[in-house]
Amino acid sequence: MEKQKTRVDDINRERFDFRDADKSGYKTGKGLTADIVTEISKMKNEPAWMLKHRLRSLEIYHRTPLPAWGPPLGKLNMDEIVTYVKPDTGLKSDWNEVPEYIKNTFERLGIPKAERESLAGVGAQYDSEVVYHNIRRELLSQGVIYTDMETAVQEHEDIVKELFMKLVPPQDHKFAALHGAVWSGGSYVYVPEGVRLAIPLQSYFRLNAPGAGQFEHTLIVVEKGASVHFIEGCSAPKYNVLNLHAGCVELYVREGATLRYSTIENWSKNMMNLNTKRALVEKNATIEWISGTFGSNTTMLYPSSILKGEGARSTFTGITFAGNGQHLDTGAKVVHAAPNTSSTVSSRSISKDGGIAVYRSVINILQNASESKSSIVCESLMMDSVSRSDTIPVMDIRNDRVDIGHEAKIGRISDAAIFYLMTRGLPEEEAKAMIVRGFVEPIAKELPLEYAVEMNRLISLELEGTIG
Amino acid sequence: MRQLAATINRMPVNTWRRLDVNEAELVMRGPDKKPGAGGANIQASGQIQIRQNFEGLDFGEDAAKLFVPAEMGAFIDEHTNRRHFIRIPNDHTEQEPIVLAMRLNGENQVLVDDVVIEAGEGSNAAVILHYTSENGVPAYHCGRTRLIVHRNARVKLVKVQMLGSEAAHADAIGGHVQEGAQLDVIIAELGAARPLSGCNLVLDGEGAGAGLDVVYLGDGRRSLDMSYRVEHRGRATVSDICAKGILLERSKKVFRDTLDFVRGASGSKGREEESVLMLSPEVRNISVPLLLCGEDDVEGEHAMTSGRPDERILFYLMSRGINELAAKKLLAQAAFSSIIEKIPDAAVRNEILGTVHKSIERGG
Amino acid sequence: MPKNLLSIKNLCASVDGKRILNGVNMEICPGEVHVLMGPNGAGKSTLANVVMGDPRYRVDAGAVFFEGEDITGEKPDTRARRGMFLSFQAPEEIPGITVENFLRAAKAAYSGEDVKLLPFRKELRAKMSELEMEPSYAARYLNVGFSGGEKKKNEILQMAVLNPKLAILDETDSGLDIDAVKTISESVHRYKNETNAVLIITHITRILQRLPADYIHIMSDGRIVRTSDASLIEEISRGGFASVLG
Repeated sequence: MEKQKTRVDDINRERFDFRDADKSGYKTGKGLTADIVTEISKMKNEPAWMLKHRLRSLEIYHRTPLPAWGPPLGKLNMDEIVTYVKPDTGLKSDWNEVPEYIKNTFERLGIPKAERESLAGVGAQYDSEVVYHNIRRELLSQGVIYTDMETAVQEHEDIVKELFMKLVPPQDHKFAALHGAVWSGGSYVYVPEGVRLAIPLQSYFRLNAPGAGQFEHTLIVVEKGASVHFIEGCSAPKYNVLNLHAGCVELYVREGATLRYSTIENWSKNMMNLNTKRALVEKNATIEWISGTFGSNTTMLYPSSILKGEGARSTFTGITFAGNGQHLDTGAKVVHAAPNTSSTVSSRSISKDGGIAVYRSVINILQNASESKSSIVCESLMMDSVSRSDTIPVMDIRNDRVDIGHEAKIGRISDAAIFYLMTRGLPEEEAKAMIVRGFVEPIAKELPLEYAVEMNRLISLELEGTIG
Repeated sequence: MRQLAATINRMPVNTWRRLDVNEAELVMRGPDKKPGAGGANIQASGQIQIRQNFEGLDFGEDAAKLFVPAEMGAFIDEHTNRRHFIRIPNDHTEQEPIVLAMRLNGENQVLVDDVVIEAGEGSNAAVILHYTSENGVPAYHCGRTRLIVHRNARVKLVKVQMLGSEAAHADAIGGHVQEGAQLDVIIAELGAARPLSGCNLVLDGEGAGAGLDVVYLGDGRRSLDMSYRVEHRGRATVSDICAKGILLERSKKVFRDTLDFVRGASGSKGREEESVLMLSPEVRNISVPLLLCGEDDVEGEHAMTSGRPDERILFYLMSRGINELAAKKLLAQAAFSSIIEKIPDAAVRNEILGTVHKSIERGG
Repeated sequence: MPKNLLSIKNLCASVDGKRILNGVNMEICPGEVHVLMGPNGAGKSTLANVVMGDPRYRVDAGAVFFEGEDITGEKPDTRARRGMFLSFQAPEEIPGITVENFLRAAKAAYSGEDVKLLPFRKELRAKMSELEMEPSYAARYLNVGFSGGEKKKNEILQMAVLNPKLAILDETDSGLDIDAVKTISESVHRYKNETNAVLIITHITRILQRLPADYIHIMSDGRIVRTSDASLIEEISRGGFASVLG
């Protein structure tokens, strides 16, 4: 008897797949030159050190080769990418002042509604610039800063100069260098000592222009004993040309602080998503990564935690859903650089219809990280035999007084589990759908409610039995 | 004398280059002269054919490609000074293990051995290759062992490397396992300065099975580099990779193990497991367990644990009067024993345990 | 006057910064049977483990003496070789070491002499048959795949083989059926003589049927709150710990 194959439909991306006419106020020409970079810096009226940083990054970009590992990137032609697209508006703090078509876009994505109901602050970026930023007044009075990166460069220059691209230097890899040269937009968050935000801040990144790149920079500093939950959402309409996203996220979590960084990435399938995220975690501080990767043509994303202070903690919870034509290479990096540090990595992936899901990670336990703990659990679900799922973890352990466990599993929905549910009266399709939902549950439950609902919608399961 | 420099133990897929795990560099010395191929000390019954040439052997080369790169293969072809072709006839069961003991000494400092084992349909045999060297002799060993296990045959290959701590050692195993056949490989890497060890087994036929058991010991400044892989090609194939390691003093190891499920290997199951006992604060322990999968109807699993001996277990043993060193020895023995027990030769088993005990006494 | 076998003076101990023992005092002389009872979480198992030198616990104050010598800082193996024994509540599973090899190594360490294989095997078989253990268990890995009852019997087997001066039995009788408790109780009875002593930590009193207790200690919040003769047992079985804790 042939086994029946379960059908899980592609993630429904309709909600995100609408486009606005290109009404940008200014855009650079295609490609990448020192002139374009200087032009961007001038437009932003930047201090000299930032222009210097951009030009140095550009040099590094030109001499750095593409990574010799991971998904193929040959199809990306930088000469075809427009690196800077300025919308025809400035930064507003009232949705009514934002141009109607942009406001509509964010309305359709549900951002203003979420802001009213469940967020402490919102930033919205449209192509290369942030068009809206607002934060609840009571947080302002507590000294919380939440603004776009451009404003931060002007108004908080000292701290930005000290921290900007220090965690992710342009030398890190080719796309970090590219980011350093052409970065634009993004968010700056500063949470003062002891301030604990009860509800999240959210930045939403929308790329509308075809053939463009988005290079937003997010810099967050959570001071001693403070805590915040930051949510990042991204989407774009689908075009026939490749778009590029090479964002950079730098997080400084000071002593005893907690930062939760959640991302639901839902780029369209023409997006090359080559993103870099890194957190420096000090004594007894905690970074919590929640990461959902659903969209894009190609993704390379490995949020990393540097556990620098004694007792620092990192948790990573990630889900990756690779459908037709997608090559999603995701995972995590952790460096244990102090005693008593701990990390957990929990990763799940689904591959279907020829999609390729790769889990890639490195756990580094340095010599001084005595009594540290790390536990990695990684599970992959294969929906059919035209897809691929690879698991590529590295563990580099240089201290014996540590406790390291790693488990990985690959396979498909278990026949026994389906049978068990069916004996309890569930029809086969429902049993399978239930198991797939159960598979993503550990991630869904970590998300804020509206995002969990969102994810359930994303994984709209239409199951039908077909004779395999 | 010729020198070989080659890149070996390449990973099937690369990862971050700065981690320095994607491959290893091999430098090896060729023999000064070519003595006649040895063979006098092979113990086997009259049923077993042992020849010193590979004439008439039809051996697909792809088994060993991944871990025996062209340069190393050519070097072995040219410089072999021991060549054995062991054929086990169809349906023959060889009761006693076939033992090849290779000892390097002042007169024979360089060994380049090339062994082919062909197990006829329905046959059953165990082969032990045992490498030792005289203390203080700068020994060089470069070896290749290839196996063809025909339908329904069962072969156990045991490769024990106990060369002196200054010796150079590079070794590659490649095996093809046909329908219904079972190949079990046991590798013990216990000596040499910088052992490079690779094994690549391909499960071709439906229902083929492979077991790959590895014990390794790092002491002094030994740096081990190991790369093992099982490829599931046939339907309903089963593999089990199990490694137990002990790291002492300032030793270092890189251990890569890969389960590769190729599309079409439906109904297959594979499991890899590594546990490492770290007994010194200065060891470096790198593990790269890969699961590669292009088929949905499979089950692949990996588990890795690493750390010092469990404190509760040490307390339990010590509460029975056993001192800490003896308790560590017991735990090291316990770690190795499930694998060592599978070696069908008591002398070899005892020799391995003796080596472990000695090195814990020195460095534990 | 016989020297005290075990003497615990004002013992305070903690684990992960949490204080469990708050000044325990206890004296055990040769020939005596002591019983330690008390509600869950009172610190009974901790006391047993600290007395045996479990490195996970920190001794904050006080001392433990064995035959008059201060052993507070000693390693567990040194204590064992003095003649102390702990039957663990949840014995460790150790794959790769057989029961026989382990016990022979322990016996050699305990006695400081070589243990000859054949006589030892004979002794082991005899002791196992007394405990109604299948001889095949000798070749199995230590506690691996053993049921709860089999693990407890294996602990008592070790006690019988090692023949310690002081045996501490930490809930050796819990979770066992009546027959298994009887077998274990008989084995402890066989072991017990005028020169050795037993400290039994228990919830139930069945194990005491063949073993009249000399002293009953009640522990609560990390202290011995009451010490009495065997009559206290009846009081507890009638009214629970509440009645004796006051």
